[in-house]
Amino acid sequence: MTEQDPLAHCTECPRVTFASGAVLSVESTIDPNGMSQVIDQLEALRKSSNRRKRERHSDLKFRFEQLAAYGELEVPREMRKLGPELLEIKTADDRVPFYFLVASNRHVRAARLTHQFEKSTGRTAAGKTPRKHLNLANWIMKGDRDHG
Amino acid sequence: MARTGIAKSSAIDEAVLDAAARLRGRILALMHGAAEKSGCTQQMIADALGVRRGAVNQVFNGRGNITVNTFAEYLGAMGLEADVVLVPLGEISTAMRERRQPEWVAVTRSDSDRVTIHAQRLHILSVSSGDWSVRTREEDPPRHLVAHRSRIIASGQSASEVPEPLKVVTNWRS
Repeated sequence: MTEQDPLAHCTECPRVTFASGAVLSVESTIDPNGMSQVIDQLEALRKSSNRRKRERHSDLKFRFEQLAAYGELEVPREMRKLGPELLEIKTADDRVPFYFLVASNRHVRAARLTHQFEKSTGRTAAGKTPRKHLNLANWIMKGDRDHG
Repeated sequence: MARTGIAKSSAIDEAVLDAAARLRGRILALMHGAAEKSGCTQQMIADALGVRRGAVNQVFNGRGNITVNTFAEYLGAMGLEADVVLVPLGEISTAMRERRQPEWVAVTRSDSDRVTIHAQRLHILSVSSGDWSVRTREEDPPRHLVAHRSRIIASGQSASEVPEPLKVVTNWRS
């Protein structure tokens, strides 16, 4: 038996929608190489044989649903601004940088997720988001905007 | 916990993990909301419970899996306690997506009492929820809300400016 694909794929581009709600949809981005890192990263968590990783995926999924429904998270500190456009969803173990897209020719009102990383392997001593992840998020965001 | 050796379906497993995540997220949101409303700082809660502030901080960061007792103790320190209702699996996500209240599943006497106090009408719906039929009851709005609205109107505010309390719609399985 083949597993059903739970991801909602865009019919016009390679992006997928992780959650859609009354306020916006939470989508993947496309980096300058045409790849969507966040899909692979979240799917790896979802399909992992490690239960803790699957729990982390469920934790993130719930935050995506909240963001889609309300445009914000119920616990405000779980969302943090990383830069002028870049924000971050924070769960106990994971970080997911994203940006808000006001409108494009295909998608209206969306939160676009750049990538996901684990907090324990991706934080500085001061608790800040490491520069490499900020740079990666900005690079993906720029590429995603170019894709429209 | 004893295992039966029967493999869990991956779909069920994911749905249950999602439900657990929603419960964890909901508890975390309640704790933060309770702290904000009650004006309690993490230090005050730590002092009330006789634990380190760091331990309270860990709970408020959503780390670990707090016990029911711990949850009750933290709420108690803020002058609150939690109530629990059941909803069909996946209902919280659906309700959130549709921006409405989740439908309850009443399974105990106290659940049923809550929905029978002001009961007026009873419908039996053929909702596909397993082998159980789901009953829906529509009640008048709570009396205290109706009385509160009357008091506002009596104080001089126009009735059209004060919204009427909504009817309470509750589902339960029988």
